[in-house]
Amino acid sequence: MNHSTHADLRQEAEHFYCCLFGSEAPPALIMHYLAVHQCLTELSEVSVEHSRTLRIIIGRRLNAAAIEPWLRRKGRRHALTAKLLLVVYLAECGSGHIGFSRHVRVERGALIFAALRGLAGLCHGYYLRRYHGLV
Amino acid sequence: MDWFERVIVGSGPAGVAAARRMAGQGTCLIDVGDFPQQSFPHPSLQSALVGGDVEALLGRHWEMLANLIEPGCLHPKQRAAALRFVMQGVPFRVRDAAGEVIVHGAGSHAAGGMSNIWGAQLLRYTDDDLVDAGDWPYAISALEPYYADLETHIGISGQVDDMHGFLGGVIPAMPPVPMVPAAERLYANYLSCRNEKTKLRFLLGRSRLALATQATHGRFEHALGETEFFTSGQHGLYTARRTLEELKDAESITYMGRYQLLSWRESAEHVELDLRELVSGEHRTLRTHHLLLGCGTVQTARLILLHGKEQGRVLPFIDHPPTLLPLFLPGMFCSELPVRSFPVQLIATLPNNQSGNMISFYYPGGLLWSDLLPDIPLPMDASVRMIGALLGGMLVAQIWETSRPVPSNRLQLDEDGEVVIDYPVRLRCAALPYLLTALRPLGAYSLERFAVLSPPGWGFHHAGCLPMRHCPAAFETHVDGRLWNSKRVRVIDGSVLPSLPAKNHTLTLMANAARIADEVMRCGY
Ligand SMILES: Cc1cc2nc3c(=O)[nH]c(=O)nc-3n(C[C@H](O)[C@H](O)[C@H](O)COP(=O)(O)OP(=O)(O)OC[C@H]3O[C@@H](n4cnc5c(N)ncnc54)[C@H](O)[C@@H]3O)c2cc1C
Repeated sequence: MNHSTHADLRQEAEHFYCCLFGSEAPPALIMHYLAVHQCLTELSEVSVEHSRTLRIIIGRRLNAAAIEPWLRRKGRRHALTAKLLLVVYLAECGSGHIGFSRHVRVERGALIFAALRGLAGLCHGYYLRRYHGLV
Repeated sequence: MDWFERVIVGSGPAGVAAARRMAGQGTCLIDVGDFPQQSFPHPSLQSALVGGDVEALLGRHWEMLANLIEPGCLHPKQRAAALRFVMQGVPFRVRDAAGEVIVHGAGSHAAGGMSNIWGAQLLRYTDDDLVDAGDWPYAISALEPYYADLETHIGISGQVDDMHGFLGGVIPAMPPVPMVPAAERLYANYLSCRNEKTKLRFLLGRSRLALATQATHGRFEHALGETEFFTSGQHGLYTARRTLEELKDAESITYMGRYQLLSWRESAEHVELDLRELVSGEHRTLRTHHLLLGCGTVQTARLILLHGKEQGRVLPFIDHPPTLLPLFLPGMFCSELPVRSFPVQLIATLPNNQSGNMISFYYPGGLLWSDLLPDIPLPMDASVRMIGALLGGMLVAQIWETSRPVPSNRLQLDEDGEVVIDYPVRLRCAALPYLLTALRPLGAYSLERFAVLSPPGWGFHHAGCLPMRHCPAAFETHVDGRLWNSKRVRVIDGSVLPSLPAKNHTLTLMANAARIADEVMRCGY
């Protein structure tokens, strides 16, 4: 098991937020990210393998969102999935991101574009995972 | 020593249904359970999200994130702080065919029982249901007067449509909940196909809910604010707690809250109960002529095994773990999302299938969108951009099928007296391929591989441990609820139901509990 320091977690939150939403993470979200890690110890106790994957992704500034679907699994989640999901929850509940607005109507064109981008992201993620040997 | 003519243990749906029939001097209702300590401070999920109230949504101690790592470790409804008080009772675990523990559950431990977190779909069984499921010792006519009485008391919403016969042919007291656009489209497509005499393979209609869609008898209308996953005790949503409060207010019963039944001794003249007060831990003894056990199937079975000192004995156990299937109506993608909605929208059945089945269609808008993202096979950044547009054209089909006792699905106590449920046999959802085909002409699509089977135990339709029979064997019950070897101790909860038709079973277990209560009043001793 590897434990992350505050500085590691802060860096994680910033990088993951940027991969997901393409902008700088709000300070409140980073604060909550740290607090959740303090409270849910399972989240900080990451296996050696997962911790290596996280370190590579953050150190080399790889697109975490694109890689994550290839590490998804049934049952216990990969640390990357859990941490990205945590950022997503915090963004949704902190009212921080427009993507979660129940009032914004997405046009069909935008939906198709997002789906195509998602598929392209999947291909990119597949390549990144293979190239960097992420497990 | 305290004395009551009749004692009911458990203030869940079964307990209160019996208490209503026995209201009057000499009836005592005992429950170990708590009341909620917290509630959701927003009228709707939307308003909490707009306000960015992270604490209300995710919990002061991040309770809602409890299954971030292990998604299966907690039932989604128990994540919220305001709902956790419901399941803090005696623990049980469920093992699969490989002997792996797949569910860590706990008995309900709340005034009002599990109804505090239920989906409020209250349905009658019919004679066809009982014949299909098998082993029932009576015809549905035995329950009809009790169904009618309970429906009037509770206040049921719904409408008369193609599902009327399937749902027992009763006219609901209130109109159904408003439909979300996706459900509206599915229903409109169904009606137009039916009118065009297109060969339809299934029946579709509005569900029957214990939900006030109108203010009646001084009671509030439900606000439809999508808070079902965050709080209990919402105005207009019936739970057993409402009946409990009414009985207490009218002083028709004596209520002993926070008392746990530990054991009892039966003599020719009376039953003596050993109780423990939860806060002080003090023991108290109480005597009665009639003891009615309504602690919920698992807890009642446990008490009876402990009472008989039957550590090695196995009892049958039945559940209804449903199959969940996301359903897409592409024509409705990108449509405006409803501002107010309630999860259960439509109900259907495939009448020509070999075995009984029922499908409820849910609108998943009451969940946080983040809950749904790991199920979309795309990077999360793309899914976040798409989810709002997808939800407008999404429903979740929850498929229930008839469940019968199977010798290897069983409940027993381990060496520490804890409940262990082995559930190795899970039948594949036979209705699934037919449902997919039946929905296509209505413009609704999905794939078989998107279907998720809920783990056994999480169907929460627990039954069958102490089945009622005309001539009960050991660890079975008489049709009047008495234990096989008893004159004064009866079981009134789901454990006496011998098999489960493909419908939610709580209205039936309430009607059966009321019927048994009448037997007590009539028994003459
Ligand atoms: C998430 C969820 C959704 C559901 N949705 C539906 C639905 O839509 N429709 C439907 O029909 N059903 C639904 N159900 C099932 C329904 O809630 C149960 O069938 C019903 O509550 C069972 O009633 P009961 O009275 O037998 O037991 P419970 O509700 O479990 O009540 C048992 C009571 O006994 C008390 N008790 C237990 N042990 C002791 C003891 N030793 N001493 C004193 N008191 C004790 C408990 O505190 C509790 O109050 C749902 C359940 C869940 C969890």
